[in-house]
Amino acid sequence: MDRTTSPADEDTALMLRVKAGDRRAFGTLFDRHAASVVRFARRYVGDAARAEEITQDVFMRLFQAAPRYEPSARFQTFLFRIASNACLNERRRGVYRSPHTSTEAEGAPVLVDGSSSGPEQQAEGRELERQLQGALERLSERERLAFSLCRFEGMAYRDIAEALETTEAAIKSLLHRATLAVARHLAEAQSPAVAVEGSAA
Amino acid sequence: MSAPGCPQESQVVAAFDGELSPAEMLAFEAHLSTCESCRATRALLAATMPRLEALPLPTVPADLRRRVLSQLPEPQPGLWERLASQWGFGLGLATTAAFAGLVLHAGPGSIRAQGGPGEELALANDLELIEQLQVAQTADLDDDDLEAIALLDELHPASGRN
Repeated sequence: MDRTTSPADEDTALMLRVKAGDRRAFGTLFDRHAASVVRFARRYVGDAARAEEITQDVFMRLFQAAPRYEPSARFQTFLFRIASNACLNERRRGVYRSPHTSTEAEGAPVLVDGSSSGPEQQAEGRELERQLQGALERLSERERLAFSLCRFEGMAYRDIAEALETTEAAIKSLLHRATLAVARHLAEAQSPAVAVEGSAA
Repeated sequence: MSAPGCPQESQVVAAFDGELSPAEMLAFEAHLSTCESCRATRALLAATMPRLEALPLPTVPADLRRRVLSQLPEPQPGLWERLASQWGFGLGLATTAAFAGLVLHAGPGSIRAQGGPGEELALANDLELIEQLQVAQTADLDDDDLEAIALLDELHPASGRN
């Protein structure tokens, strides 16, 4: 692929190849985006196994939707529109756990990849992940989706609005509420961190 | 933190995300110089949000890729494959019938056409066409239907599709 093309352009080119029946291009798209989709689903449902199932479902839907893909749509927006709908459908099916009832607080920090960090950094990452999950559980579904798309996928408000099929003004409002709520939760959780660590010891 | 009644409070997050227009940003910066609560909110965001960016991506389970790729539906035959299949079948039948007719007409031990050089040439052309079509069918072609149609037209201009 041309070195001057952006990752977004490469994704678009790959998706057009998938549209033409190239399954290897689909494998490449999976390699490039599966981790993001796993993270997105995991932050939404708060459960690793369900997040994997959602991810599998998202990529199957992506493949099936390829004939309808037009390069005018950003691939990332196209993908996360599918992912958002998959998450919301999961919620409607009522399969995933309700807030504050999981074993999340007991550990299982599946989102923290410790392969490139030391034990101390891993512990900090686990703690932050736990705090974040606690904050996300207090958000509405759409606030949680918008927050993840903005903070972790780096999407612009305009693209988030397209992915969630709403207006940019609505996204601005959702993100304002969600971001302040998460920030305050993290700040409060950080303050007694020493006490939490002390009680856990 | 921003006072609940601060009319600019809704701009704090958007400004932090770089989602304000240049004019809006100028106005917001001017507001910040006079609003302690909005400054505190901005400081809160600056102290917490970058920490989230440092969280690593998860590791994708090794078997997830295999599961996804193994469950992809088989591709539906494209127009090229369908046309080539139908035409190949039709040509095969026609040629078989022609062979049968020639053999019966010529009698055992001979497959020479009895109608003269013109019929022999037509039969040879049909045989060559079948061979070309079979080669084309087994080639690893992209699903470019227009190209396929053009190739079929080239192979069999008198097919009646024109």
